[in-house]
Amino acid sequence: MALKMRCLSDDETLVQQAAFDFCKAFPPSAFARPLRDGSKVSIAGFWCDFSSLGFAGVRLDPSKGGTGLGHVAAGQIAEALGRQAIPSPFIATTGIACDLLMGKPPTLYDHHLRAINDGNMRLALAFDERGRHAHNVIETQAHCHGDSWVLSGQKRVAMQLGDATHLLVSALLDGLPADTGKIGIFLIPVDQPGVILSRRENLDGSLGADISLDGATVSQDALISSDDGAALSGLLDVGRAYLCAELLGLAEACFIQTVSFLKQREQFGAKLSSFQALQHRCAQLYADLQLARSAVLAALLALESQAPDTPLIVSVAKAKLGKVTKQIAHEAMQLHGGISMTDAFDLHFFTKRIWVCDAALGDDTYHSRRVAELLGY
Amino acid sequence: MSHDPFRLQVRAWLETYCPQPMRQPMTEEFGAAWGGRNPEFSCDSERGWLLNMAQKGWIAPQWPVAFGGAGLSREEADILQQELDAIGARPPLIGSGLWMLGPVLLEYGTEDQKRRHLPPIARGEVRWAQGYSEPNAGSDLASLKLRADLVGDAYVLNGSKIWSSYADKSDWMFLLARTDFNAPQHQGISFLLVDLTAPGITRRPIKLIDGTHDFCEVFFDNVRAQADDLVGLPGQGWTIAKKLMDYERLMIGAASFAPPPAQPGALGRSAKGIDDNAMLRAQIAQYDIDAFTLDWTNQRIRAEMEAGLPLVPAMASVTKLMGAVLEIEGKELVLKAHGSDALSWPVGSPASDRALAKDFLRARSSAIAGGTNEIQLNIIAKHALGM
Repeated sequence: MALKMRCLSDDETLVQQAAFDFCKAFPPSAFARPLRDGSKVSIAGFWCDFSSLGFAGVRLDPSKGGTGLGHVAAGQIAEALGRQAIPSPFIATTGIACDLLMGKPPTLYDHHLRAINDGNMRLALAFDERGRHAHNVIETQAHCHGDSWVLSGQKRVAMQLGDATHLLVSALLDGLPADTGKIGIFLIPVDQPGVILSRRENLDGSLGADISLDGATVSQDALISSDDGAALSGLLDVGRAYLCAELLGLAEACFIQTVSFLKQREQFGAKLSSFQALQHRCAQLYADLQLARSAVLAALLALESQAPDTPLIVSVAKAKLGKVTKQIAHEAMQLHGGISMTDAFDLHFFTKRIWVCDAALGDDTYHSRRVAELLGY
Repeated sequence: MSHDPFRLQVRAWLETYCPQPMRQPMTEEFGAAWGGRNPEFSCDSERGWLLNMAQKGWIAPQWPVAFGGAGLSREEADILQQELDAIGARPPLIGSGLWMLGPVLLEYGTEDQKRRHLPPIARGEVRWAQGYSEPNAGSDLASLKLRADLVGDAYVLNGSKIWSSYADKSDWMFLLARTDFNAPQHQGISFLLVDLTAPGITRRPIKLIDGTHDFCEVFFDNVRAQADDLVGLPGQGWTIAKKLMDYERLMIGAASFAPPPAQPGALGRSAKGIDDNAMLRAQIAQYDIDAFTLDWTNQRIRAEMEAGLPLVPAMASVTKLMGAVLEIEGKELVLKAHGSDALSWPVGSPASDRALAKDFLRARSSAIAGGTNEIQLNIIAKHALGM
């Protein structure tokens, strides 16, 4: 495997610090909770401030107003969002949509990229068609009629629909079956006629939706990419790597809160942190987290260097992160005891989002299986 | 970069002086030269490779020339290592003198100690053993009782050490001894260097469950060690030992002394060939995933060290712990894939028929030696988490 690990560059460290500082003002009590309860805050408002600091356009060329950094820098931002359990359109927008649009001839999609950079375009993924992620299931069809495409099918948006302005939709072009046909990716407005949303509430309080595409008619330029499926496959891996970074942030938040809780809570006349049985459980989680951190960096570096083994590296990372972070979610709750079961205590915003992010684009079992297949067994 | 004059010079030298057989991967763990006063070589090439590299000072390339090294900068040493890796060269010398004692002497040794002890290490002329554990001081190492009483210009040693790897084949030992029985436990310990041929020393190999006897008990009966061979200050032994154990844990975690790891997925593919068992393949996939992430972690630590960043707390313990867990899992999965075949062999058959079972048994020791997994968890809880 030709992957070369490296440290964060100075620029990446600066972005990391800036993103952590910015997100600190949005802990669950100030954002995820009121958002869930439908009061006062909105993702659009958050996203506006977030974008004005250059986070949404971190990967865009400075000539388009962006910061000109890569996946590794973007991953630091995803991690920072995770540290505060902030539901946002970052992964679909800065991860997947930027990747799709930046890979096209320069200037062709400048208007979209500018809108992303300015925070005016927020995306959600309409790739999945099953409740459980299955990358190769695409039954949605796009028929060409003159200068437009007509989309029909059922999609499931698992996460980050929130205040999305646009959808990325995968479809079989001209209705050919998946193994012979071309797979297209469309960028369409959420309020496009013929796009019927049935809103769903996700476990973590964020919003998803079932989408019916009922003859939605879009222009030719909504079709951003068409090929045998390689583009979609690559975009899914981008999303997975970013989910890994966010999962790392979520798990670190759980872990840090748990260790500090144990240092302060007294039972049997002693701090809980003085009991070796609990120390060892925390030490094991710390070791697991260190390996998880390396896996996140490896996945981001693989994307950035376009390593030939990127699918394998990303699946190793998503499998590892899924397993480790769910374990940390369980342990964080167990070590906190009864208080972790109360809605008033914020820990559940982190643990719930861990389960949501793990399931998104394939959980640990899905990716363990993909690792075995890619390794030839 | 590839036209760097030093790189070209290294490449040309290796072309001439690295014998072909030494460019083949090691076939077993520690399958390289240990050196020493009575060295054993598996072949002439192994001897020649050691001598060639020693002459060049490239066994310990970054050590000063005066101490047997080549005085290379880190960049030059990296280039040398890259060129060695590029031709798959085996290490010319392995052992605790080079990996553990050398770095400690460079940091804590007197000029005289460095001059006397470093060059023979860098030339592979003296083989070192480690003397830490005692029969009643295992995980609780600081309770060790080997006593060293200063009498004139020598320390007189009485007591015993255990689990000393290859002490029977080594020439000298670095050890921890109690020089002050009144001081608090950790502060009464000193770090001493002792010639293993000194009168009063008895070395006894211990036969292990895998049939090998690499570990020894060593008994000290009024053994005299020069006072000049106390490293650092009296009572500073624990500090030095902890430093040295960090080098040891990084070494065990990185496993640079072992044959190259199997191609990723090899175990899974061979298991599929033997018996298409989905549960077994699922466990192997989990193992492969963990192996990749541990490898990336070792690479990340190396990159951070090379960039001069401070080591993340307790990382040596993290990789030692996870490496040990993974090694045992891996060897056990090999047993699972082969079933009873791995656990039996024809009467009188060669040792190679027993390799799978032996490797499995041997792997257990990685969770015990160099501080047990539980000790690593203690260290992480204390130093990384402040618990």
